Amino acid sequence: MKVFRTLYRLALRAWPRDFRTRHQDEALQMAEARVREEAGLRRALRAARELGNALRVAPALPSYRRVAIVGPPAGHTAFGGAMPFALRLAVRTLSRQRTLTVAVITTVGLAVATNTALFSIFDGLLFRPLPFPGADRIVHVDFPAEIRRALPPAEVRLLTSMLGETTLIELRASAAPAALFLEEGAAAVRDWDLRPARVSPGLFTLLGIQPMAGRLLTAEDASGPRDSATFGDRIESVFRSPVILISYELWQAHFGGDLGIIGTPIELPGMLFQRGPVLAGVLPRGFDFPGGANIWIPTRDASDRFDLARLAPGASIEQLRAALPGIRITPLREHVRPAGAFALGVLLAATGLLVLVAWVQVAALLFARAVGRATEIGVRLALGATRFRIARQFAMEGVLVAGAALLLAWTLAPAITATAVALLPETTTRGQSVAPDVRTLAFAGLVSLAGVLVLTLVPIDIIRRSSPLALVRGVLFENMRQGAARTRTLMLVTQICITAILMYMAGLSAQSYSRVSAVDLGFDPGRLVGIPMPALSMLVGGSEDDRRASQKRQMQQFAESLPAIQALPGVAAAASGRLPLYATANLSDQRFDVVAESDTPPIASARVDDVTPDYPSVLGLRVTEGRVPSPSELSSDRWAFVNEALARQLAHAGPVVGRIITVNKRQRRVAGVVSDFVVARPDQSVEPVVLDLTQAAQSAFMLVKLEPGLVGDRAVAAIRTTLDRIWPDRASREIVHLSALANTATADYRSRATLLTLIGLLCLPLAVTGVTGALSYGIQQRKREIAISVAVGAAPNRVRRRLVRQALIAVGSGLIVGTIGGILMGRFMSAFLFQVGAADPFAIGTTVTVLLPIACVAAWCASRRVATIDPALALREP
Amino acid sequence: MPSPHDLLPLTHLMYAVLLLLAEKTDHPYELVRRVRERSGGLIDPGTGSFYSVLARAQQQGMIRESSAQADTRRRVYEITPLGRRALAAEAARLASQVKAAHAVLTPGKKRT
Repeated sequence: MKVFRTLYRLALRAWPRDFRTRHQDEALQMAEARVREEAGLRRALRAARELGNALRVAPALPSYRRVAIVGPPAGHTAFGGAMPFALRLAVRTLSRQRTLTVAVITTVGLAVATNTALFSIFDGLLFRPLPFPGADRIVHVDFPAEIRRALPPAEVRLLTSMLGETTLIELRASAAPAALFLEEGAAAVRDWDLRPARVSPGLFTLLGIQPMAGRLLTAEDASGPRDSATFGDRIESVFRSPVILISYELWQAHFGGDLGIIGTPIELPGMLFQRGPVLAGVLPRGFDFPGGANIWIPTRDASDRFDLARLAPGASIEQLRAALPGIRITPLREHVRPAGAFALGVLLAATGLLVLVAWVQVAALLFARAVGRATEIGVRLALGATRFRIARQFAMEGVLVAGAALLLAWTLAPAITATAVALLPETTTRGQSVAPDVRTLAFAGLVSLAGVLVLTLVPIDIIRRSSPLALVRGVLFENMRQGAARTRTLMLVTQICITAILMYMAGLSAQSYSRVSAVDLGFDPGRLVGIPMPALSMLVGGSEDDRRASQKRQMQQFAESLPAIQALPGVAAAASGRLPLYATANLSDQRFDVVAESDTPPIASARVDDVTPDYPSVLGLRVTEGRVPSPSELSSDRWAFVNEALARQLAHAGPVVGRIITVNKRQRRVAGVVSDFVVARPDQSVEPVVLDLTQAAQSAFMLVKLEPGLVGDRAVAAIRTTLDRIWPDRASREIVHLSALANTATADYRSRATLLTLIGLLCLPLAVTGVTGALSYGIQQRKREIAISVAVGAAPNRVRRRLVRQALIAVGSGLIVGTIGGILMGRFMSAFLFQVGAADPFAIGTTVTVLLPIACVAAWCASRRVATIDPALALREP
Repeated sequence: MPSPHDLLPLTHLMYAVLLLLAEKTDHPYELVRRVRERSGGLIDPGTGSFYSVLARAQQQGMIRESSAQADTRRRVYEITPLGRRALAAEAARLASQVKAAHAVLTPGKKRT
């Protein structure tokens, strides 16, 4: 009988739980009694019949879903079927509070997406290995011009040949962005966004890149027959049939991914090709080395002229450095690492703040939800649900929200990354392709999920602390509601405060950038280019005569260069002298004391540069006093120009022009005063400058003013050809546009301003959600009060105004605290600001004028809910 | 309120249970005993089947748990007005069936 009882109990497990709970004792008793009525074999048959009967009827028995609040419906508990039930309940709960759920998912999603995007940029620019196989063995090789100039030619030749022959290097290649466009095609080139690079065919083997379609470049492509082509008044050698590679993106965007065009001449706008280049192949998606290139034009592989190398197996970078002293060898990854690490530092800090804003937001929303559900928790506890079950319920909801948010983030992250990368200056991104991948999403997702888990603990904590009775009676509930309203307001204030800090910092940076861009350089960099000249070198070894001959030859080369370049068509004027804004290690930053009379203390300390007499006119400086000395005067005496900054200091001791000054132990007569100009950086104050006039052009740079338009652009190539002719082995490959230098000089400011503005803008939607959420919650909590106001005749608009006013008080407090915080942050940032104080009216104005109207609109829209309150219904609610 | 006719035809067991409950309120154990007794052992439901019928009858609103229960351990059921009407309707249906059978089976009587 005992066996029957056990088996029957087991059979009853098939019955719906609630039905079983009600009837199982009675049913078991009855079945037992009926089995007892029989004896022997009949008893066994009866028992079997009863068991079968109990199992057979189970599906037909009703289950009472209305008791589901206590636990899952029967049938789901037999073997761990509770999870699907918890899932269903979570989905139901979330869909019931649709607005709140959408708000939480959007906020978390946006925060995770931004986090992912910014982390991707960090990761891509600083940590991620380059996307080439064996990238750690690829090095950048640089034989800096300054060292080349400083070393004797024999040593340079030796180093160059060693570089070409060393067995430590397995593969060599060169790659550099190229400018191969005609001016007429400039607009078309911009439309097509063509970014050509001249690469040696070996580059792709070195990087381990395979074409997506077609083939790679070969040595024949780089050495094919050339034609002389006439461009205006210039003759250039061009490939008869140039062969190029294009990027996957360009192929898709402009050729519709047409495989048929591979191997045929294609039309590209504005390029300096005599005829359409033949498309050899398409490179894989995302490949844009170097510097965001999308067209690759072959240049000859030269064993001594390369900038990229793959180390031979077994060779280390240290060995290579030791073998080639004086040559700068850096791992490629380090070489492409952005110089503006500070900009990324700001980005990191701002990301941290942004994530903080998002979490404050999510914490507020989840907290509100947990408090709003106190009654529900109380009822469930009272009905016998275990605390574990309720905690599991909240965890399940958390997982669902986080999952949806992660999905949203995954969708948004690529777009946000692309926008951020596009906004970042090239000096920071170096044109590297940065895109979020599973790794970065996993990182950001984990950080965010950790947040969600921590925040799931809020309701669990409430469950742990509260007795069901207190929760159901609403005693605790009432207290908590008041506390929650206060916490909610505090969270809104914090959020607005952080947003204001970010906006303020963005304002300060933008202001700095606009100031630094507006700095009067003292000259117009527009049509100016600078050419670094080879340094005078002394021949080591050889006879005295050889050395003299070498020196004489160099002097001749110098003497020839300037007139040759001045004579080129397209060149308006040329002079020798310092290149403003050009900052490299080789340029002397030394200042010398300026002494007006002998035996008197120095008046100032100034930079001193050798310049040819027409330097001021080439640079566009005004001669405010005095004049340019004539050639005969120049040969009889040492003359110098001083700038206005120095002239002001000299003026204390009498007239400036004609005065003899001693600088660096050498006496000069002041020929005149030139207007001030920026020598090194636009964000530094103008300093005293002495321009030593010399007729021999021996300065480190040649400054060339180009004719406007097409002619000027073509002149650059002609300058190269001329220099190659005069300095066959040592001509500089570098021609610097001063406008590019001016751009680079302000790049740091631009990147900081852009990044902070971007992050500040991303904070705005979060702030809107914050204000909306806080106000909606407030309205929900004060439903009765609002209902009474409306019932006794208050106009809904008036009630709305009152609510909005209260919300705006919180916003205002946040703004004030945030602005003060911003001013404090500004003090820390002061080293990176230009002519902007920590308390800047523009930044304050921007923060307030952006944030306040948005908060007002958000609050007013959120307060629409007031109109939906029906006093009759609201007052009847318990 | 569902019509009693919607609930027809009733199963033997349901009919028997309703009939017994129409006489007096009772608890399941006693009901099963009486069903077997009345039917002379012809209707002998398994415990599960019996509870299934009870649950269905209760769900359809033909019986309900009695409010006046002496013993809390045993649930006592009573018939509802709907149950009564359904019982009457089923009885009438059975009567007409019986009448039709008689008409066919009684010798000497011919259908017109």
